[in-house]
Amino acid sequence: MKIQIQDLSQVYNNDFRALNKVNLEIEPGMFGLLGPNGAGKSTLMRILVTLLKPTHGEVFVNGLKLSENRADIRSYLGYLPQDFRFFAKLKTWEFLDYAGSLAGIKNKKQRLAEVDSLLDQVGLYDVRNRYANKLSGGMKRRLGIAQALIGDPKIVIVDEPTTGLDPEERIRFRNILSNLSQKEVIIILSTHIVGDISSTCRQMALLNKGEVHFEGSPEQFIDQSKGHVFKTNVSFEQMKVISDSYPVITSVPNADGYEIEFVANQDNGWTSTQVEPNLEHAYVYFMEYVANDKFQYQ
Amino acid sequence: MMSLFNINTVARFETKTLLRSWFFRIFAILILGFVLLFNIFGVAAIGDGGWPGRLLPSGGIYFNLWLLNIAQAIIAVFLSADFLGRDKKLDTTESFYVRSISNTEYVIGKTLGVLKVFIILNLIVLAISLLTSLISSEIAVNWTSYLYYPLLISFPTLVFILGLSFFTMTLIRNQAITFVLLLGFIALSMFYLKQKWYGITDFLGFYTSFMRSDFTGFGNEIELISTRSFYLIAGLIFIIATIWRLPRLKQNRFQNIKLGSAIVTLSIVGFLLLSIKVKNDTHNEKLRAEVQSLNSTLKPSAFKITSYTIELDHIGAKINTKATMEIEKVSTGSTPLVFALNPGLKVETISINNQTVDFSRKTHLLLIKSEVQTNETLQVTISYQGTIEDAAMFPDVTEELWTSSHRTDPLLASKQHSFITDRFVMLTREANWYPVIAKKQYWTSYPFTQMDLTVKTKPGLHIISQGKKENIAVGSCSFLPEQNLNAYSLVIGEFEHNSTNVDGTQFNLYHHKNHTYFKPYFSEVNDTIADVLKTMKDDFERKLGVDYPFDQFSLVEAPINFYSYMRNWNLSTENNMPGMVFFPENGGGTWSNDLGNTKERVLERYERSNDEVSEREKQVEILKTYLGNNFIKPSHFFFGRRRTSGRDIENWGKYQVFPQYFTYSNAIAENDYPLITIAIENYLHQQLSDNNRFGSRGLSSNDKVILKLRESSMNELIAKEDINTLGNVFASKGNELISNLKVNDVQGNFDEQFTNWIEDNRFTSIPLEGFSTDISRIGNTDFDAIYQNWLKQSKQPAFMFGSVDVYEIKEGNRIRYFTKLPVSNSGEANGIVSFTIREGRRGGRGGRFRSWFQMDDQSDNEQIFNIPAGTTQEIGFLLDEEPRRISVNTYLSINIPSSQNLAINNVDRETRQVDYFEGIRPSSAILQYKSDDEIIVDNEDEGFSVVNTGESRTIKDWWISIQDQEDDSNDYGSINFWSHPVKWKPIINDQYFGKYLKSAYYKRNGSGEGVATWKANIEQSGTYDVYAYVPHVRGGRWRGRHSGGSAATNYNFTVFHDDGQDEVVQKIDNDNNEWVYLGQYYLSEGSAKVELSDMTNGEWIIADAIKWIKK
Repeated sequence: MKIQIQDLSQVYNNDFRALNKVNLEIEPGMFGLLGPNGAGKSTLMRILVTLLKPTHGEVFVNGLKLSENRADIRSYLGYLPQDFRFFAKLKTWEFLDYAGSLAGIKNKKQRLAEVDSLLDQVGLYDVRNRYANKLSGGMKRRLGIAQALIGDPKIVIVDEPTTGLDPEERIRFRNILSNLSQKEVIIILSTHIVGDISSTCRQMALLNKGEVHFEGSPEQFIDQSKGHVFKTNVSFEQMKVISDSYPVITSVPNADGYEIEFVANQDNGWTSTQVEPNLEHAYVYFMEYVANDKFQYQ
Repeated sequence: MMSLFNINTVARFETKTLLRSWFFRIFAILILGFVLLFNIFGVAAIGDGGWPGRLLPSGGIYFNLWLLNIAQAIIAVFLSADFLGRDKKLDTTESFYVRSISNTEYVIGKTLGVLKVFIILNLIVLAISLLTSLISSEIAVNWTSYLYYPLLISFPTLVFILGLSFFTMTLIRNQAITFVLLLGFIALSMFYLKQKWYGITDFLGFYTSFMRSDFTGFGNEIELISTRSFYLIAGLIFIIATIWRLPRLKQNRFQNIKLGSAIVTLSIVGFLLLSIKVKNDTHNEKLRAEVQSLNSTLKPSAFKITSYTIELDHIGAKINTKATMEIEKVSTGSTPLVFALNPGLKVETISINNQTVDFSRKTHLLLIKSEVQTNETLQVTISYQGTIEDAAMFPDVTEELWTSSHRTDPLLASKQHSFITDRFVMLTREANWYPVIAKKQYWTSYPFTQMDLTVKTKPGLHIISQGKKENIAVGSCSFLPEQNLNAYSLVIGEFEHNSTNVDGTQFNLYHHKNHTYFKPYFSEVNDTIADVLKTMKDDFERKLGVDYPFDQFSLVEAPINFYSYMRNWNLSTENNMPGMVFFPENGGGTWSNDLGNTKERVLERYERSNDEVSEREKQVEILKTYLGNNFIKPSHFFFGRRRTSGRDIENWGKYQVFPQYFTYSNAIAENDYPLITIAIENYLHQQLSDNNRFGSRGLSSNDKVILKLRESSMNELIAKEDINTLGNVFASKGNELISNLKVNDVQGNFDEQFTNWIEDNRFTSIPLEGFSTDISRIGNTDFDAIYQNWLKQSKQPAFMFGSVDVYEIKEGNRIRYFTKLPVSNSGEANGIVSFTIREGRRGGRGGRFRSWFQMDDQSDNEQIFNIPAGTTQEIGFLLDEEPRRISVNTYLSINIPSSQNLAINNVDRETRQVDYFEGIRPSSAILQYKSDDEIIVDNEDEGFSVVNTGESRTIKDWWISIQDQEDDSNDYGSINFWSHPVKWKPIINDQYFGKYLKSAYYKRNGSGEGVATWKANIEQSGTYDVYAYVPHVRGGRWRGRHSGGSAATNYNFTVFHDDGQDEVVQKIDNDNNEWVYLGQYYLSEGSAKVELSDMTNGEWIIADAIKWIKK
């Protein structure tokens, strides 16, 4: 299973260019699509799940053109939309039953068995007879992933799945996805939350303003920001100056002021020590200095 | 390939969610509750009387589905517009949109899901209907109807409305606007478009006839199935268009091509289906126009058919006929020999005296090409076969009437005028199933001719026609005439036949073998039926004055879809044929036919009177009431409400037996319109009507005729008026003509001699000269003079009545009452006035029909007097009892209302020396509308005006004012006790003040801005007494003390005088004098004014007249 995205562009009616010549190659495993709000992640996702027709370019799934083979490609798909809150008047298990039927599990016994197993897996078995509308936000999201997973999809696409979840729910959610990535399945996870990627993805891409700015592993991504993250102590007055000039990632107050971590091309004379960057640092560095050409601070 | 699994999946979950929607549940419970209640109380008739339509064949299920259909269309709009709306609102839908399912499967699945829910609803309704029918067991259940009705009514409507709402939603993408649009469309099609444009918008079937006869089925199956399928197809087209518009990327590359070709194919099919009805309708229209235009070219004919010998074979859905006629030439001159025969019957050969002749056919006319020279009797034989074109029947009936619905409270039957099917045949004269001479206006007056009829049909079918029946073989018989008749009918069908002999007349009842609901009601009266019939027949004939002319009387059950029209030139419809009445299946769902209801009313009556009566007596009473209300003195009820009076078909009652006594036995030979025949018929029919409705409300039909005749004589009216509106004119003028002949009837035996003459001159057309001589002798008048005057008269008499004085006198040993009153005629034409005096105390009880019979005993002594123009006459009556009520009828004078009750003064018991007399004598008295010192301004006078503020305070006001406008606001009405007009409305009644036109204005109470003003010109300064006329309004009193006119109502008058203006508040109740004194005022020369405010504590206020009297 392989997804190739070639020269994909999407221009909306109001001339807003949501995607601009996106080229990506996605292999089985978890793929993280990182980007700020409005970067075009959802547009890309919606094109991938055949909800949206791209203005230009093509997507190949296992060599098949997406635009011409929707029936086949849809049969590989499992999709959790970004908004997943409002349901028809169906019970939790019925909702899964419906999704399972549409995913092509024709045998009723088999389908119901799979419904039960997925409900168990996402921890919703106890509320299986509750109307889906009455579930809590986290439960809804779990039901969402369950319906995306039913019928053994080859491609699972989840759009901003962890937004609004509490940490416990978020961890639980990541675990469900990680379990899945053991199989030969492409999982595309779009998110603006860096932690979601770091813990699960082997591949990632960074999207900003409709363009891909990075494609590779999270490690490679972090490497780019090596030597650009600094740690220092600043007084209250200095804090104001430095936070105007550089993105400050952490600030811990102490007796004289703050202990801070900031991202910059160079330390520019601040008495500082270099810090080993993590994904968050890399993301900030990237957003500030690579993607946005924001060198005006210097 | 479409996946059934996918479709089924989508459908399954759609159904599930719909069934869980509260909107659907509440609506379904409401409609099911309503249906259930209707079935329990209406169809099973548990409780106080059921819905009479339950007795119609398949009436129950039709009505149930008719109701359900409207309700479910509305629910469907809400639910299905919700369909895509919901999809849009539910973000979770996208997770399904990415599944591998085609748009077609998705939309079809959704549709089937919705449809399934409605099918469940339909099944429940059908089950309720079926169970009720089985339980009530009044009529046999027609099982196939439970298949046909849902398929014809519900299913197409559902598919159509679902498709339409889906598609509208995909176009508009706004649920609220879609609702409004679609509900608006439903309302528009129901209340405005109706049957316009070939009924193309009637997807609800609201104006489509689904009435199914147990004899002949729907009757218009092909048209019905094709129009209903059209909606089905249209619905499918919309559904396919929805697939195309679905906001989801298509899965199938060729989807649009496939959808496009499906739409094109279905459109063609739909168009073809629709074209069947359009084609039929245009064909019918064309045919009718042809027949009409050919009829208008007809000339008087020199030929006359003296006898028919007809052999008729009924084969399948056709008749094969050989008609042999003896034809005489009755006048000289060479006119072509032209026959009329229904255009559906194809003529094969015509021979004259055994020689085949050439002929040409133009629609219904059959023109013999060979010159017919001889003066001897011709023998013409015409062979023809085919069926009847209904559209060629009743060609004079207006397009509007022809296309109007045949509603049977409230269901729709189709209008069929003849039947030739495999198992049923019904042909009446108008079907023109045998040839007649086509001459000028032949359809208004057919000659009396002999007919020998031989009929062959399938074994097991009854054959019914006029004459003495003789069986020839199985399925074949002949009818030998007992009289020469002017109409022949033929019925062939499966019937159950009962008969009894009453006084030498054979009474037959032919009914469908399953239609026996009436039997249990008459279980005890089998041996007395003949006696009951005899009593009723005798009563009827005594009142009418003529005897039944035929040897047989048959009541034949006709298919519910049979329909006939009432025409101007006689009082019969095709439901009456000589010796035969066609009664619709199970009574056609009329109230008067509802035996359960009748029984209940009879029992109630007995209960009230505490009479101990046997079951048999009760049944006799039910039978009498039933026969009376249906055949003797019918009147139409709609949900218990009596319709307004007038000579329309509903009031007439198509089944009343009256036409048997005159229409099919007597005629005067007249050249143009058979005016004298019409006059006699109307006069005779008048003998049956009670004069009980005096003081009736609003304009009577006679009053409307007066308004019509104001400017024209009848001859002019016939020339210029639409012939179809002349019925009432004929009726009024006819009654007037014969009444005119009675003024010299001193002995009071005119009626008797006249009815004897009618009996003596049956079954032949009497020449005008003969009639004139006879009637002049009977009436002791010069008929020709009266007749000529009657035809041409365009001036009218104008009557005024003086006060009615009653004196108690002693004549020998008897106390009697001498009543006299002066009458003047200030018009330009002589006129007649009839007086009907009711003596003694008020009495009588219960039952409309019963009281009609009782009136026999108190015979109304109607007397007619001629009042020459410009004279005043005194009229005297000697009565045995005090007069209770004096009703006068002024016929076609300018007086409106033409029927009124006169106020009677208290009996003078003091004056013993009275110069009493009976009859009429000239008087020197001068009757004055007002005395010289009086100035009167009536609401009809120039000085009267009203201010309409047009205030509409509530929606209800606004609605009422709209209704008033539709009501033709220029027309005089009457006080409506339920809703009062927002604007001043003219009303008419004998209680109101007026010189010849007794009218007033009224309106509902108001803010004081709606003012009525009377202005008079004062010629002499001085002191004046001012009075206002406030009529006593009868009726409406039951509304309690707050209603206007009764109890004390405040009238706020403002009298304008020299010193300013005075407000005079008068409390008016029925004890007041009608002339209410407003006060004494000094008025100078010039104009005087009185105003009446519409502010009152009553519900309405009446403005009539103001009087100023010089002191």
